[in-house]
Amino acid sequence: VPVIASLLLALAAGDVTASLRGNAYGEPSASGRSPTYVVGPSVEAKGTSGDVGVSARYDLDVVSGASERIAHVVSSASPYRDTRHSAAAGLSYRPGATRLDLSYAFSTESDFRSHAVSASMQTEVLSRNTTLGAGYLHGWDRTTARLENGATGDHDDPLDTDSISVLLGQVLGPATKGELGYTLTVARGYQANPYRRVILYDAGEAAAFNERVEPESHPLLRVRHGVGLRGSRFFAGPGASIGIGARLYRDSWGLSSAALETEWNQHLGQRSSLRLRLRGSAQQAALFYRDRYTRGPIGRYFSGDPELADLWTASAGLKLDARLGAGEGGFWDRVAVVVKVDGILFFRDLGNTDTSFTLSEDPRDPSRPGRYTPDDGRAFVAQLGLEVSL
Amino acid sequence: MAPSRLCLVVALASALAGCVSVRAGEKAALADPVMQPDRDPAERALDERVHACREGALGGLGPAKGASGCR
Repeated sequence: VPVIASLLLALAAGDVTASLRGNAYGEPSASGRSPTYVVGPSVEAKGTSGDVGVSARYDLDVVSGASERIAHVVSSASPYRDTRHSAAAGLSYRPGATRLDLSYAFSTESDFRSHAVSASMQTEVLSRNTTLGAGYLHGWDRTTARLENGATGDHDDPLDTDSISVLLGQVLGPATKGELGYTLTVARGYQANPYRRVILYDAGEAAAFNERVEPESHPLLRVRHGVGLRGSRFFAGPGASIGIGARLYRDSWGLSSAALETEWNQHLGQRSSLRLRLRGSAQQAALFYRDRYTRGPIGRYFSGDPELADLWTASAGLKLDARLGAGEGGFWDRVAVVVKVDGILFFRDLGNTDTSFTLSEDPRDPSRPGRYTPDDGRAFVAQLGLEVSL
Repeated sequence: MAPSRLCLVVALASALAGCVSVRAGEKAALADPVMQPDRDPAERALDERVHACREGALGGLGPAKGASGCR
C-alpha cells in the first residue's frame, strides 16, 4: 500500500522521473563451483513538488544456480531457483539546507520475508560547507523454510535488525570534498542458512571415518561496526573527477575487513560521462569459521557460510551515462541511458584444505565425487538502464 | 574501532571542518554531476546487494541492513 501510494503521488508530482533498469549478476562455474545467475528488472518513479519528494521502487531478482546442501561439497549441490520481489517507498522533505527522509522497504522470496523502515536527516551548516547527517533503520525479517529432512524441523525464525549511522561531510576546497561516516548495526535472531549443513569431524586418526554432518550454527547476536571515508576532487582541465573511498569493518563474530575503492569520472561532452572504477577488499574470517572442522566446532558455533571466510576480492568496471536533452517543446525534459559492467575476481583462503580428500564412507576410494575444492572464481555485474524525466 | 577512539576522530574532524570555508559562488565544481558519488541510487542498490552477498561487511556511509536473497 505505501509503495503504490508513493507511486501515484510521484506520478502526480510536478517533476517526475521514471527509470527502468535491467540487472544481471553472474558467477560462472569455476574451480568446481556451480554457476549462479541473478537477473531481473528494477523500476523506479520519483516526483518532486516544492520541498516534498516521493519515490517508489520495485525490484525483481530471478536466481538460478545450485545450492550446496553440505558446505564445500559440490557433489551435494542441487538445482535451485527462486524469485525475489522487493518494493520500497520513500518520502523526503527539504526545507532549505536540511533534508529529512522516511522510507519503507519490503522483500519476499520463497523462504524469507523482510520489512524495514528508516529515517534519516542531513543538514548543511557553517556556510553550507559542512554536512551533518544521522540515520536509523529497523528491520523485521523472518526465515520460513520447509526442510526435506524432518529430523531437523521446519524453520520459522525471526531476525530483528537495528542500524544507526552518523555522517560528517566537509568541503575541503573549491574542487575538493570529503565524507566520514560510521554505522552500528545490531542483529538479533536467526542468522544461519537453514539448508546448509557442515561436516564436523572428531579429532584423531580415524576422523574421516566418523564424520558428522550438522545444520550450521551461528550466534543469535551480531554487533557490526563500519567506518567509511570518501573524498573526491574535480579537475577543470580534463573535465573529470577522481574519487577515493575506504571502509573498515569489524563485528562481534571476529570478522574484520578493509575495502579500498577509486574511480575516475570523465565528462564526455556536456551531458554524458564515463566512469572507470577499481575496488579491492580483504576480509579476515569469523572466529568460528573453518573450511574443515577437523577437530569439531569452535566453541558452540560452526558455519559453512562463504561470506564468513577469509576472502580477497578485486574488481574493475566501466559505466557510461549518456544524457540527451529533448529541447524546447519536447515531451520529456531529459532521457538518460546507463550502461554498466563490472568484473570481479575473488579468492577464498582454503589453505588447510586437502584437495585430494574424498568425502565418502571410504575416503580412499577415488571414484566417489565430492572433493573439497579451492573456492576462487570470477563474477560479473551488468546493468542497462533507461531514465526519462518529464 | 573503540567508541571512544571514534568519538575522538569525529571531534578532530569537526574541529578541522571549521577551518575551511568556501563561498557559495566558488562551489560550481563541487556541484558537477561527476562529483556526486551517490547520484545513481539504482546502481548503488545493486552494488550493495552484490557486495552483501559475497562479503561479510556492511555499513560505513549510511544505515545498513544485510541483504536477503543470498541463499
